[in-house]
Order: sequence, then C-alpha cells, then structure tokens
Amino acid sequence: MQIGSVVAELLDRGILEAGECLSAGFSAEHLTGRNRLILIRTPTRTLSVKWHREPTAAAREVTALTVIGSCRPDFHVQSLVDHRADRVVLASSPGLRPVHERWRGSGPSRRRAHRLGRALASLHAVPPPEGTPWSRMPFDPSSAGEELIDASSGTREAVRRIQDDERVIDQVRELDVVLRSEGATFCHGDLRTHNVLGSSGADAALTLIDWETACAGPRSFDLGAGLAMFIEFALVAGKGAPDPVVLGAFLAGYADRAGGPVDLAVPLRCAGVRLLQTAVEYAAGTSEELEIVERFCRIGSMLLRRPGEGAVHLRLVA
Amino acid sequence: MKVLMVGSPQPGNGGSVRFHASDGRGYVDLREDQIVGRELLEDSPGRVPKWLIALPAGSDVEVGELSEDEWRGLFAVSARLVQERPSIHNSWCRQCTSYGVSHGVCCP
Repeated sequence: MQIGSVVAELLDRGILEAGECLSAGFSAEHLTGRNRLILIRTPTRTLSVKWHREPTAAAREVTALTVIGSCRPDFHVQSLVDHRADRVVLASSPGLRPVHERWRGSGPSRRRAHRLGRALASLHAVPPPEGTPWSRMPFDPSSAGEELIDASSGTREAVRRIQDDERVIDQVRELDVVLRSEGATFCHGDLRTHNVLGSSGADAALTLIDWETACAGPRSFDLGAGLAMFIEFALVAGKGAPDPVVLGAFLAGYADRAGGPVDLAVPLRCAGVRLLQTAVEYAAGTSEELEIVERFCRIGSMLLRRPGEGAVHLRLVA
Repeated sequence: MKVLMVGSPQPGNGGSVRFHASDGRGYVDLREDQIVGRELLEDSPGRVPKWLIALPAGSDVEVGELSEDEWRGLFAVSARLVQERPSIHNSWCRQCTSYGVSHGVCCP
C-alpha cells in the first residue's frame, strides 16, 4: 500500500483538502499485521486512516467511539470522518504523536502518567453497552499451536520458551478465572504506547485510538496493559528500570478519578501476560533469538506468577 | 530435613545470607541460624560453585525469582540489545533513525 495512493483517494473523496497536503506529515504506523494504519498530520488536525481485516472490527471501533464520545471521558475522542466496510477515517486535534515518541528524550513524565491514569479511569466509568464482547486474554500460551506453523522461527521460539514453563500456563488459566469474577467495565482492550497519542503542550489531553478491541471486561485488564506500557518502554530504552514516581503517578491518577485505591495484585499479573504477548510480538518476523524477547519473557513470567515480588522491584510497595 | 542445591553465598537482606540458584535463576534468603549444614559440591575454575545447604524440615524460606542486580540488569542496555535494536520495531525508518516515520520530512 502506497501512502500516495491513499492520499489521492482521500482527496478524490473530499476527505482531505489539497491545501492540507502541502504542510502535512504522513506517517505509516503499521503497514503489516492485523490492521494497517496511516496518520496524516495537518496543521489543523490529525487524521487516522485505518484498514481493518474484518468489517466487524471496523463496526466495533465506530460503535465504541460513539459510546465513549457521549460520556465525556478525560481524554480526547476521535471524531468519525468516513466509514467504509473495511476502513475508518477519524480526526483528532493537530500535532499528535504516539507517546513513546514523546517519551524518547527524558522518558515518560509524572504529569502525563497521571493524566493517562485519569483517562483510563474515566473510560472505566463508562457502562459497557449491551452486546459488547467480553475481554479476551491478550495472550494464551496454552492455545498457541497450529497457527504457529506459518510463523517465523523467532515467534515459534518465543512461544516455545513461554510454553516450556508449565507454571506460566497454569497461572494464565487461573488469572482468566480471577478476571471473570471482577465486575465488567468498558475496556480499551489494547492499551499500548502506539495507541496513546499526545501533543507537545504541557496541558494537552491525551487521545486514545484503536478501539476495535474495545470490550466489556475487568479494569485490571487495561490497568495491567498500562503498567506494561511503562515497563516495555524502559526495557527498550535500556536506561534503567521504570521510574517508580511515574508508575505511582499513573496509579494515583487512576485512583483519583476512580474514587478509590487500586489493588495491584491482579493488574500486575495482567501486566505480566501483556509482556509475554509483547515478547511474541517482538519476535515476529525474526529468525533469531533476541535478547529483548528473553527479557520480556523473564519479567512477564515473574509478574504473572509473583506479583508481590514484581511490586517490590517496581517499588510500588515499601 | 530440607536440602537445597545453590550457588555461592552473598550478603542478603537484613543480615540474611543470599544463595542464588545453581542455574543462576532465582535465589533464597536464609538466616545463618536456619542452616544446619552445608557442603561444597563443586568448585571448578570457571564454573559456578555448587553448595548443598541443609535446613530443618518445614523451614520458612524466602524465595525470590529476580535479585535486585538481575532486575536492574534486565533494564540495562547491552551490546547485543543495541545490535538488534533496528529490528525491534518494524516501523523504524530504513533511511534514517526516526521511529514510525516514513514521510517527506525524513525520507523524501
């Protein structure tokens, strides 16, 4: 898929104006995998053009945005510009970039982490509409099997490494049961740095994108993914463990908006599963054993099985 | 009696002694008064020493999976990590070092 042909089509359909293109930035965020996403940054707005493999996913995204937009959450909600069976075009404020780009210099700030926590809690205050699908575990090592036949050797190795530890498989199953006993909130379902956009202003609100996985599920699910975001960033940056002040600000932001403290045990276990999933994602397309994959596996496995030890290492408890 | 096979002793938390697992993964913190016997099994040059530690049956042993040093090490950059970095994210630009960018600004 060429960005040029996409832009030409948007111009033809009147979604994009020729004048906007003169000073726009075109960024291909994902060109492979489940979905494809292009961000077009003009001086007045950020357009997100997303192709879904399944039309139902596009419909889910539009439905989620409609529901959330009507509930005034503590984050910006993209507005729908165009919706076709396999593609959705959404608009949001200008100058947005995925937060991992904003964090690259000095890492995530306490203020932005607090804002993300508040944003997440405000989402979880939205009642899930009837018919919203129940959340699925981000990664189930016990069911990863036949679909791996065509996977890269790196992916197979990462999954084998996780499956070799029976304690992990047992813990994922047990966690699934625990999560089903939590009350259902409206969850984003795929919180990651790619899906959290921010602008450079100190008081700029965050924009959460990619709502096709929105689901009814336990809040621990998104909270764990949020914690995993900070851990993933620290692992890749190689500049030391996640800043406990930043993690604390994220959790405090959530607690402030939710009106009560957060019990960390289950979210930390969810963060562990999310990091195991991240390990497999990083291994995709490679034919070698990557050190970063090994690190994700070790930390993910530890958080899943031993959230108390994880909380001590992350300095979330004394 | 409980028997553990561990590596060399190191100072642990609160006056305890920390023994890392012989495969380097995980550790146990023991108080000296918990250890009723110890025997050096292997101490070959270039290899991790192996000790057998005897504890009273029913001893309350604090087991850890990652020591502080191991935890910090996982977040430290390594030569191998730097080498594989370009392949970590599929969307690192191939013509410059921008992340997730392939547009007219960096790559005309």
